[in-house]
Amino acid sequence: MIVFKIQKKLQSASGEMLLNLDFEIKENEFVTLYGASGSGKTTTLRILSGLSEADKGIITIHNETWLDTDKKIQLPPQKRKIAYVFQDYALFPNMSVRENLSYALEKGQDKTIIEELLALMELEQLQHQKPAQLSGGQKQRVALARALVRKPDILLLDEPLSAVDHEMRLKLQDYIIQVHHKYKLTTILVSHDIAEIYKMSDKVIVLENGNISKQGTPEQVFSSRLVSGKFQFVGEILKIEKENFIYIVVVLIGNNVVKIIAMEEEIKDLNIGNKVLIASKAFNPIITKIDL
Amino acid sequence: MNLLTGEIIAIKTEGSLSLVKVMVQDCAITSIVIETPETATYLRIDNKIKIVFKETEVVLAKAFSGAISLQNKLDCNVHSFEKGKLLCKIILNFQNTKFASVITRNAFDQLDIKENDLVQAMIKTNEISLATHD
Repeated sequence: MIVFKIQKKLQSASGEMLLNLDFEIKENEFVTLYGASGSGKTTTLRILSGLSEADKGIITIHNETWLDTDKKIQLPPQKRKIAYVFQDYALFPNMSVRENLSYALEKGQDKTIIEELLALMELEQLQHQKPAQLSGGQKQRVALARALVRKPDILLLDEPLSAVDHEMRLKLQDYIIQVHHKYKLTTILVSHDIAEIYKMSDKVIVLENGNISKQGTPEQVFSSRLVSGKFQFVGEILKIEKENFIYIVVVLIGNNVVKIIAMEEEIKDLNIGNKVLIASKAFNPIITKIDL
Repeated sequence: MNLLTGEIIAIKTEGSLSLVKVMVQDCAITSIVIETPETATYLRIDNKIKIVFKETEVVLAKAFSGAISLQNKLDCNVHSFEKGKLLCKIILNFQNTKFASVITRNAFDQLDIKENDLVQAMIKTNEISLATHD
């Protein structure tokens, strides 16, 4: 469990702002920070990692105190078991992929983690190449692998996917979900992409001018629009078929594939892979017993 | 998805169901929901609300007379339409806004729908969802 209660005065474009946050994150939870730029998301990650100082507050991780301004406790960044991945890959240009990973090893650390990460992130073919020879998505895979070398407990991702194209973004999301589960990480992502948030997060914390304006599951935070719908599901679009002016949208809900009729105006913003909310009046469904 | 904006003018509750009357300009539209003013903060008289209904749930009638159980009857005129082999989509002018109805091609032909025709659009009370106004 991460307990995060901090205050910090920030200079923002519109003057002084007080970042005033109080939240908890469970172990192995995937949490997204969502909010306009300047709302305090990056500063939150920086305070958690120890790169920025808070004016006041406490941070405890699994009952270990990382920060307590009253008791003058402040664990230095290198002692916090945190990995931080930014939009900027920050790879060493003169080192190969493998060397970039090896450089992150702690003294005396078992080197098998390098092989494991190269395999897991599908970087074996690229391991002897230099960053300049890699695409943006490949560089970000290397940055992610390097961040995991020291086996962190907490993974911080500050818009790591915003510079890569849509297809690569979807793939990188899968890599992140995979490592999140495999290494039992507690992951905190900063993202503006609602489909991405639905796909990845257990919980969303919405920041507004330094305060938490809303938090909950992605469904709770983003789908309150249709308030009276009692028959609602979140699914993923598998296929969109056009039949004249009608569209048939094939959606995966849990393990079931369903089809929904939609109009052109509704499918305008929809793409395959998008998370969508399916809602119907509770009066429509027909219920029958299944005799086995 | 059709969307109209209005204000709640009446709420009748029985058990966990509420019949909500929404005034959309000068036309009253009713919706039934599994909520009550106790369970849902948006169920308040004078609250602005959006009513949402599917194009395929909009019944069309022309020069209709006689009794009918459908409660929501909206006087519209035909703005435009698209014809398919099986289905037709009709865009309707309703007050200062538009919404659509999708009916079968057979029904479209029987009604002999043309642009600017006056039609009554009808929607069952239990086909209307409510969405908050934000």
